[in-house]
Amino acid sequence: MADRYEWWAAEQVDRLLSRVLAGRRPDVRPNDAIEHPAILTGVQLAGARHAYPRMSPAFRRRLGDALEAAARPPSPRPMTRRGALVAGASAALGAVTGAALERVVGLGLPIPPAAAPTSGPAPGLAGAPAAAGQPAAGVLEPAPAYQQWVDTGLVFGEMIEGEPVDVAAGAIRAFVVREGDHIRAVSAYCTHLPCKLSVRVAPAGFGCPCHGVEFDPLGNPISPPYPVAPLPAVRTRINGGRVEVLGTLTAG
Amino acid sequence: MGVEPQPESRLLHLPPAGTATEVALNELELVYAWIYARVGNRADAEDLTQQVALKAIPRLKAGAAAAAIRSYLFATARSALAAFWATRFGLPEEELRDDLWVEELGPELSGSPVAVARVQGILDQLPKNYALLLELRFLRGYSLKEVAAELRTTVGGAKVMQLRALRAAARVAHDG
Repeated sequence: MADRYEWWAAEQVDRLLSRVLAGRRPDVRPNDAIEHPAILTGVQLAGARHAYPRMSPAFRRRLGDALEAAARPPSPRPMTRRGALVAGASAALGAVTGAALERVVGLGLPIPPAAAPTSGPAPGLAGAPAAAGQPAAGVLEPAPAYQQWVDTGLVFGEMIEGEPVDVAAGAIRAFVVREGDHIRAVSAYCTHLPCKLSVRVAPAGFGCPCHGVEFDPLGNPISPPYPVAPLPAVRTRINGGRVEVLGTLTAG
Repeated sequence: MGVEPQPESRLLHLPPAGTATEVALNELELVYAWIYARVGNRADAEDLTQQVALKAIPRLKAGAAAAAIRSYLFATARSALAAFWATRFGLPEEELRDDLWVEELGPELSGSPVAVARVQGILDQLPKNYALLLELRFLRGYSLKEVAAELRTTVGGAKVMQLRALRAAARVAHDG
């Protein structure tokens, strides 16, 4: 006889897998993690029902264009006044698009609504006072039910000034940087699509492998070809000399 | 009852590759099929394939052997897939690897014959009613109402049985 939890879990799992069987993305969230073996098995069974899935012609064309664009050396494009205004306004809105929006939803964060540009953090994200010289970009903060402070393994006193370190805290990935007696962290995922950023040495900053967007060490996009939001900050602290990041719960 | 793997002659028929881009796209078709078998939907498969393509292709050295190229693409795909699910579930990648069917034998094959054969192997090890439910629901496209009617149970009962069957299948898959 099923208990109350099992009835609830059965509903949740069926809801997710019904979407996959209807050809849609599953709406997986961190609170589905406890049944992840069943969910993963379900999506893989669903994936096996098409004997030889092929890329659609439209996707194949788009991918071919993207590969050819990636192979060409970058050339500076003159920015029109209209283009500069659009890029600036969108960056100020903290626009969150496409799969990046799904990641925000998946972490239990409220979805930032479209709003007029403000001088503060993007609406819907936890606000953080902007440091001098640093534009407000919002703070990536998991919902209270899923958050926990995670020891990154870094000892503050041993960190090299200004050198970003890639850390993981559950679903949160961040670059942590020591600045004098302070510690700072930004999200390690591109705000265009959730591609994992890599550290750039010269010039210093972060780069996206998917579409070539680059960010400065503060997380601001550098001359992006389309509107891209700055990297949100990630909460970090020093606890007993060790660096912790506010991440998400892990099972077990 | 059973899932028939496709014969070799009906494997992916890809257009003849002329340009370097076409060569890359033909390799990526195999990656796409492999990823699709593990995410179950076109949108996620396209996103992940694009990630793999833009990350791996620019890093390939000119003149690299075909086998090396394919291995590198599939290594990138395995990494991308693990990160994809880890982000969504909020779990470390290590905890998910055993559930992802990221078997090492995959690279030289399109994903689907391996996936289809693997599904058959898993179903064969399950109790009859679990195997029947999973085949009807996931491989033959029955709605849950139709599955419930076939198994002479309620829709709610079928959902609970579905969850238990998937857990059992996951254990079988994990134990190899």
